[in-house]
Amino acid sequence: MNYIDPHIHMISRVTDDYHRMARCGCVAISEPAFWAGFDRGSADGFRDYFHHLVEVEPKRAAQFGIQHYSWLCINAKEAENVSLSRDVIALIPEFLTKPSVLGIGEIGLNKNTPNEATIFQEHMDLAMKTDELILIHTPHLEDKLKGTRMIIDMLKNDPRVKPHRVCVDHVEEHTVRLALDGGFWCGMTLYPTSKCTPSRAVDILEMVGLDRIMANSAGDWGKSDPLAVPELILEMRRRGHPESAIKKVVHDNPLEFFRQSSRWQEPALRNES
Amino acid sequence: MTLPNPLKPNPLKPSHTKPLLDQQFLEIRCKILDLAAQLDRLTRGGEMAAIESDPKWILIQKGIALLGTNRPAKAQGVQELFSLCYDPNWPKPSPRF
Ligand SMILES: [Zn+2]
Repeated sequence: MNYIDPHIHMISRVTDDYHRMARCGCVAISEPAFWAGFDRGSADGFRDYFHHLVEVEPKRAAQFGIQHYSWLCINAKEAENVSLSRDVIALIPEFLTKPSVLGIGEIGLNKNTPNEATIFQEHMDLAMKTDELILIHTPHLEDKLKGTRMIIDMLKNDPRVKPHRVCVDHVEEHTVRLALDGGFWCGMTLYPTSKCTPSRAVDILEMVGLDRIMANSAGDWGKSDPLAVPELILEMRRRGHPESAIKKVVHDNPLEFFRQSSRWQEPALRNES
Repeated sequence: MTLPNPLKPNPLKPSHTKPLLDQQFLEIRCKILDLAAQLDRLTRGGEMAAIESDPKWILIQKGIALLGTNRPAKAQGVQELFSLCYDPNWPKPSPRF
């Protein structure tokens, strides 16, 4: 089955992963800007990173027939440094001319600090000014419930925000309804230990339905599985769920969300035979 | 977990309980055994008194107790148990128009 991984950090994966993903049916991915595993020393480090996301990675993906999209921001962890964050946010508009850039992301909270919240709002100010889609990282583990509520408070506090143009990512059992009930899209991340497993993700789908929800691997430099979305497909099949339902979650839903991007150009995605 | 919108039925039907139990029995047994062995490992360290008031140990005990109750949505309950408190009056930044 053709699928889209709407959240994966290919910069930290080897080319063989693209090959294996393509063999499993991956036709498109979107790669949010994130923490590199260390704090970068200057805004120039981010300029090079954004260049990598919009120029280098799409070419690597194209070798395997995979469409590569990206999201730009300074991640929540480095957002603790407010002056660096403001320099990075000022860089973003020059990259917003690329049709493969879907919007601003993954912005969010990490340890739910006042500085992180300030920079989250300043990213939203930019996104509203430039009419961008927004992809949101919610914190991990014990910080997730509190952080997700704080993020939704900020989204609802800003009358310019259109919920259907926002995806709240890394939702789990205790946060999925907060996102859906607010009218937002949401993403479930299939990641060892700190996030969701394929089985629990299918449990969540059985509880909340198939609208405005997608699944991703968030594959990165940590122990993670770039083939996690195909694992979800297998788990849904194992439970006897219809192919149309599976396709909606792993292909149609992310595509419907991406298509709202102001620069969207319909790609020639492979047709299912 | 809030119940789904009854006006729009969920096309995903949950599996039937009895065949699911038959299918998952060994997996659940294995997970209980794993947890038991992890608790044994803590005990063998011989210093249980030292963790008696450790918030992590208290949370683990509460989590295990929650599994033995009849409450629905146990996964959501465990997630909430292991979550920090939220203050709705936290100082929010203001949008700049
Ligand atoms: Zn990420």
